[in-house]
Amino acid sequence: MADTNGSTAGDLPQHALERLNRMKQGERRLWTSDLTVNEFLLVREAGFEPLGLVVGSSIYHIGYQSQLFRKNEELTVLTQAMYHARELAMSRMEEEADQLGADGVIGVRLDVNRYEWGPGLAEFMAVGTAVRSLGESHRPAHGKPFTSDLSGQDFWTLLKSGYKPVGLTMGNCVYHVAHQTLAQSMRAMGQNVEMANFTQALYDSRELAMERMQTEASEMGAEGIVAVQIQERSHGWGSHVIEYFAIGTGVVQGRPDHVVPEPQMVLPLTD
Amino acid sequence: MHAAFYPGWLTNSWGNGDIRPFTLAITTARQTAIDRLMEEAAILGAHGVVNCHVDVRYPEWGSGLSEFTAFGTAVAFEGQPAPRRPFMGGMSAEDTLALFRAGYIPLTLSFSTTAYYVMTTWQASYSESSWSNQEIPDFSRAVYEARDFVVGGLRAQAREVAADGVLGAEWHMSVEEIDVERPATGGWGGGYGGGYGMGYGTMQSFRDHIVHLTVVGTAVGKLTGPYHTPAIHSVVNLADHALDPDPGPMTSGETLADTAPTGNPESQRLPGSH
Repeated sequence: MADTNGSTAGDLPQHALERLNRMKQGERRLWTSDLTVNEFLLVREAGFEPLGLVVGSSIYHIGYQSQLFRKNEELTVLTQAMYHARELAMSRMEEEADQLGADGVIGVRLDVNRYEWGPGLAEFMAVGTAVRSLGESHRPAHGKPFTSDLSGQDFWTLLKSGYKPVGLTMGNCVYHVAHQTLAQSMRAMGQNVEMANFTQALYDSRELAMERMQTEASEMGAEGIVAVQIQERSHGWGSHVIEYFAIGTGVVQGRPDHVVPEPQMVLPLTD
Repeated sequence: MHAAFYPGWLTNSWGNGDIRPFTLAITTARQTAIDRLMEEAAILGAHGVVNCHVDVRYPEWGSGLSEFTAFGTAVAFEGQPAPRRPFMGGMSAEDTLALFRAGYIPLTLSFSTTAYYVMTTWQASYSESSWSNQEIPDFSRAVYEARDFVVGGLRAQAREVAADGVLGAEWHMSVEEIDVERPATGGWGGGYGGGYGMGYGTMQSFRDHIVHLTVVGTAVGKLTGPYHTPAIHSVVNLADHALDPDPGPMTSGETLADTAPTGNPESQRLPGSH
């Protein structure tokens, strides 16, 4: 999906920029965050401070693509729409973090809402907390702030074990699952059989989504991906059109040894 | 509380913007509920209120009636004189204690909301009927405007109580469609079914939107004194449910604890801290 990776940085609305600048120079810094108390304390302990909530959004019109009733195939127009709109939202969020002088964004959530704005329209929103290192810079080699969907707890553990997040990496695939012929349905009736073309369709689309995520990760120079989520959604396209969406945080080594203190065993007395 | 408003009519012209009477009514009603909670806590001689939250009930959307109820548990430190104004936070007692240890104090629930009117332009309604993939920039921009409005309100409120920051901010957003008759905008042409060359001021049908955006969090302040973040130990949770960790909202499936040969990060989380 590298072709839709077009840079969209710098297209923040004017007053968003003004607000961010005010936040940066403000008389006294005030931060906002969606971190829980424990996440906040862990982020501080890891040597970071929260700077503020950063958001990117895009309202997107998803085009139209005809489908062959009996054919398993990727719907590339829809795949591209879903990817490009997420990319827009993410890069705007990244841009906001950049403006704030953040090292990265943690706890990113990527939401898609269909239909609220009208048929064919979807709203894509990326929200996270921008953080800045109190010590040395933690910006990855690509120079932009890192993004990650890790919680404060996972972020702390990752840093303690000698890894650093590079960025969110994602891949998707919208796929049309073929309808069965009457003869096929008749043969399967009353039998225990695998629906081979359904299995095949799900496999295909999931593999495509994961492959794209991995390609993106290796392009950004990550050594591995942690906390991968794979979602299967229909987004209201009907029962035979599904989207597989894979997202995770690409990581690199921060130091060669990955020794962490031996954990203690505890038996909590709470239920 | 009762809020009556005419959507879209902002002071004296049509345009994008906060529907002031609506926003003001919600903010005032909510603050009244919180103030009464504080009064009760002060009468009890409490030092603070933990687990604070506000419930909103809309008996029926559109009837204009809403009910705001603020709940929380008043707490006191034994043998200490009560302060004039108790602290207040949305976090649990355990989390509040952890915050104190680290030198922070919850101050009050922060809240900011808007009912933001978004006018559908001719360009936007044209793009909506297209067959190709494209962003609707007018709508994206409107969401940005609404968010800037809400975040601005949240910051102003936090500054009023001299907060250092806002924790646990939660967003809620919904979009309401609204069909209106109004003069066409965008220079040339009209809305749905509008033709060219229509005189300025001709009324036409549009499907406009109202973005309801709310952000809730807890404003926290810094305590003076030499505080530091409590030491953190990684632990392995021996309780049965440790085998089936409750994935946080950000992660699911494979968490770091499964891949790194380290302690279970979830066990750092105090019960009920989500």
